[in-house]
Amino acid sequence: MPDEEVLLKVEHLKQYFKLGNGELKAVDDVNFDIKKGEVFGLVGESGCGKTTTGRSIIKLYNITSGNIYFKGQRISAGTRSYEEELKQVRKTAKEKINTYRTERKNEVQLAGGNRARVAAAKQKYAKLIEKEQEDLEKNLARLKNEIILAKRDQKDCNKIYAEKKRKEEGPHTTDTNITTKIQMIFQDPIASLNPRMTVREIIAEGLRIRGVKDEKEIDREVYRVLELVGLVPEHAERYPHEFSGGQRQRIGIARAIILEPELIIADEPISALDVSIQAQVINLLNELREKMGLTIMFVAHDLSVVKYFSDRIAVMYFGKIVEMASSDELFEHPLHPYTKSLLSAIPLPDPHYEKKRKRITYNPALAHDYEDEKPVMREIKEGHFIYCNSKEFKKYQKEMNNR
Amino acid sequence: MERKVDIKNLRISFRTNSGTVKAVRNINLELNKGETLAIVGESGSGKSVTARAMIGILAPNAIVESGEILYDGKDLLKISEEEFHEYRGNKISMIFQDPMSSLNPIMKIGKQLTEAMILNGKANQRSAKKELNVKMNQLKEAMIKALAVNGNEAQVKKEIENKIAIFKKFTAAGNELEKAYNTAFQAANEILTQMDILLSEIRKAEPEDVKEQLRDILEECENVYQPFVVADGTKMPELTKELKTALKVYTDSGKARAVIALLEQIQAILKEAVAKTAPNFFRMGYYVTYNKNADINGKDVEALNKEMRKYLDENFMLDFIEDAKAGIQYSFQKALNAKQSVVNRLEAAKPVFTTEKLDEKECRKTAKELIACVEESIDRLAIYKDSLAYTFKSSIESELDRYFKAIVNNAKEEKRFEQESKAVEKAVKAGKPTGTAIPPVIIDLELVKENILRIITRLQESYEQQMREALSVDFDALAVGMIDYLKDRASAMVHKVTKKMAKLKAIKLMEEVGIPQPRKRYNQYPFQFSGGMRQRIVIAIALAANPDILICDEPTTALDVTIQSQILELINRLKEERKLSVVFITHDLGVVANMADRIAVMYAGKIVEYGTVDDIFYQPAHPYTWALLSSMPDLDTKETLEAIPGTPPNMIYPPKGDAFAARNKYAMQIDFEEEPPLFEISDTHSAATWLLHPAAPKVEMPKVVKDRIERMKRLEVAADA
Repeated sequence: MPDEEVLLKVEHLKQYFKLGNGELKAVDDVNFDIKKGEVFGLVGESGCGKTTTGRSIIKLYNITSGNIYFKGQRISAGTRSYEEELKQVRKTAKEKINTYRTERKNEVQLAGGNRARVAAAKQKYAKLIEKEQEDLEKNLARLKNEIILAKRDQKDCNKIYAEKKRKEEGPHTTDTNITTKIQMIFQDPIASLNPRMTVREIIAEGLRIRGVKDEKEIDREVYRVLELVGLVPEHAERYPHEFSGGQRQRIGIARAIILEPELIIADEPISALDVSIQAQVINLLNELREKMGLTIMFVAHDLSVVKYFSDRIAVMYFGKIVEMASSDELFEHPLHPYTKSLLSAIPLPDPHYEKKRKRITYNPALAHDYEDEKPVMREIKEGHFIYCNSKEFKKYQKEMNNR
Repeated sequence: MERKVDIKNLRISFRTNSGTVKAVRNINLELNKGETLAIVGESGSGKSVTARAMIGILAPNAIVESGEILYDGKDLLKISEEEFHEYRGNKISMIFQDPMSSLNPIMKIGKQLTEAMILNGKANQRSAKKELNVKMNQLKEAMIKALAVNGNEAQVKKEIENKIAIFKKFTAAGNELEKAYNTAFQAANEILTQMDILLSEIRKAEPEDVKEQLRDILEECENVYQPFVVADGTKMPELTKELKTALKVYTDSGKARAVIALLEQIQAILKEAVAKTAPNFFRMGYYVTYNKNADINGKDVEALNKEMRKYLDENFMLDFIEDAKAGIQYSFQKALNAKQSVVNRLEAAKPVFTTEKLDEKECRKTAKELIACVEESIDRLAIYKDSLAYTFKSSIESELDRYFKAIVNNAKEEKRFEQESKAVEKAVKAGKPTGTAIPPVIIDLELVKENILRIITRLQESYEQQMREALSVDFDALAVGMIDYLKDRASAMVHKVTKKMAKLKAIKLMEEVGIPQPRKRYNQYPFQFSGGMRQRIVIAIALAANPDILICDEPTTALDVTIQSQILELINRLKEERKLSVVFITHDLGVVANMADRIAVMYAGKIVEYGTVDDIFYQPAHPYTWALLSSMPDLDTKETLEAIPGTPPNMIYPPKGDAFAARNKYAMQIDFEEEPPLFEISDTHSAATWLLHPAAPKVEMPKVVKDRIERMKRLEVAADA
């Protein structure tokens, strides 16, 4: 069961993509924590940025802005926010200096021919301007430093981690790579396996990159994980096309767990599978979670599965998290209209219920009025966050209390 | 309930390099009018193959080993590709899983929607003309034969021919009137939509090409004059005149107020016109052609309809129906008499096809005789075609062809395999790299013989049943049905689809499937649509030709939850509105609960459970259905999921006995030895599992499923209370 140690912390994550002459805000200011040992579900419709979030965490993209901390160390940082702040600071300082200059001019004119007054005014403003410039330099230096740090953390997070570990555990520690502790399972088991490599090569690739050269050890490891995911050692010599969909996904999982990761990002691992095989894969992930103490970030759009599998769930809509709560809480007290609409669309294997089920539609233009006040993430109950402005917050609170 | 499609004993396999894959193994399905039949199973269970066989798009390496798919007097497995063009899209439509790959990326949506309509329009006109003439002649012949009594044949013939001529003449006249009405009605509709757009644009003060739009409207206004749309003597002509002057003012000064006022007045008139009920043009055709004092202008439609009906009935129709009834009765009786002898001959012919090795000459001869007498026994005048009799010829001939070809081919295949195996063996011994020998494709001769016998027995049984029911046939209803049919064909004959009409219909369709701003969307390309919208377009295209049957092959698997439920709702709504029969293929039982009336659960090419939606969800009986239900979590599931262990069997070597036995924890010894038959549980519900055999130990369904069903029932009781 999850303890309180935070394994992954995502702060103000923004991921923009260049698109023609504009930018696509795929992920826009997303914050969440994943605690050690828990399964964190991320749901939303296609194109809402849930996969992008996963890929940003595993550093497949260079993030635009924000910070990602893993095991307390920053592994990813974006520079956009600093750059913008930098611009802003420069601009305000310039404006201030300009106003000082005009004021000085005025005062000099007022003073007429009085030399003493002119000199005093000049001195006074020279001081002010100098101070402003000093402040600016300081701020610039701070921000530039931040940017350098961010770039360093972004690029050299593994080196930093290795140094830290060597200090703690001595120079011969093998635990030198922080990014391999996050692994990903992809949606499409056909597209994510190289058709020209045997299963052994696919699974062992990570080990080889890490520098393991002992063939016997590699074999041993490969057989071990194969058995762990419910395949047999004979499968190692085969090619991906010889397997069924469920077995391919098992290979994908084996590849992800061979480096003993602590966090697995499962990006719709069961959407491409048959219903009967879906259950096998979910049960496997559950088993592995218990055996290896894994933490899983589970990205999916099938809500019944997410509910079954996750401890906490975040609902995403157009690049923003709109609601986040423990899975029971979210399904019992959905507050955000988008969550409600999502929940009302779940098909259940019950014909009588299904024939009566009413789908709630969600239209952001009608549901919210954000003209006066922009929405932010607010905590409505312990662990239950919702994206709203203060007016809506009151409404939701009322709704919560009425139940 | 009217039967639409009958799939009987269907067996399909695929020739591959590693052997023949038995994809569909002896399934029976039926589809009724206006219902949804869901086929559920995992990938490779043969559900898509079955559907593809229905629409004639099986892969080229498919072999149909046996079976029929009967639809409207035709066996869809035996008709030629040319003939299939008439069915595909027109009668049977399909929606595929991936919307993007079923749309043409470089063609505008509008073009893709109207293309089929325009092409089909012409074909429909042609076929309607042909069908009308054929039926008419058949009816004429039957009527003459029925009414002629000793010697007055010539006179009767003359009379009947005269009547038929009258019928043809006034239906033609009625159709002309209808055509004129349709043109005017469509024009009125078109103006109304154009005005809506224009008015909203003007009111929002962002008018674009107002002049051009107004000119279009004025032009279109010429076409609305028709006694039952916009009768003469209304204010319309004045208003259009004023609109012309107002247009000038607008072009000079940009003042729109007068234009708006005029448009609103015209709109009011047209709205009223469009809301009016149309008169019955069939009756009107007779009324205006044969009644010298006929005056239809300015009369109340209801009263006019009544008056026309009376006139038509008294002067012509009642008499004609009586004659038609006699003709139909005669034709029916004649066919019935023939059927008696056919039954006997079929019985007598059986031994020819049951000998150890069929004799080609004798078989062909007997088949030819049988076919001749079956053809004789078909009541050609009946509108509902007796599929079994109509397809008898093609079925029996193709089976015989298969049999005698197979005798030669099987030997060849075996020889080839032997040679290849030897070559491979040699190469292996020599240590050379080598492939494997491709296993022989052997056609099971016994199976073909069984097929032939089944074709004969089934026709025999069907004929026997028809003879038993012959006394209770309602000929009055049949005669009226015949008149309706002729009427319908005659009006289809003059129903021309123009580009403009197609566009109008396409826009209406787009609205129907829930695409906002259809006029703008009409001119866009597929890439400009989102996934859900694309699937809607695909559905609209599938419906463009007004099919009776819609096959949906996993239409929502590529979509996410909210879009999925929108699309499902859409398909459900369209089914209700258009009385469609839907075949819905999916692997997700949750999706099906909402959609299906009946469900067939398929596993390894066989139907393992078949029943109504309530049967399958509330009283599942097959372990595979249990496993499917228990392996998917719902919102209350907490315990470990009961996954189905293992994978589906390799269908090149289908397992002996029950195919699911290896993955089934309830499997008994017999499951590994013998295939279970389909045990009937109730009239609507059957399942193929030995557990239902009276001698089997009693087994409860898994606790998860049982709990869930109980929970669902409790919920329902709570909801009702």
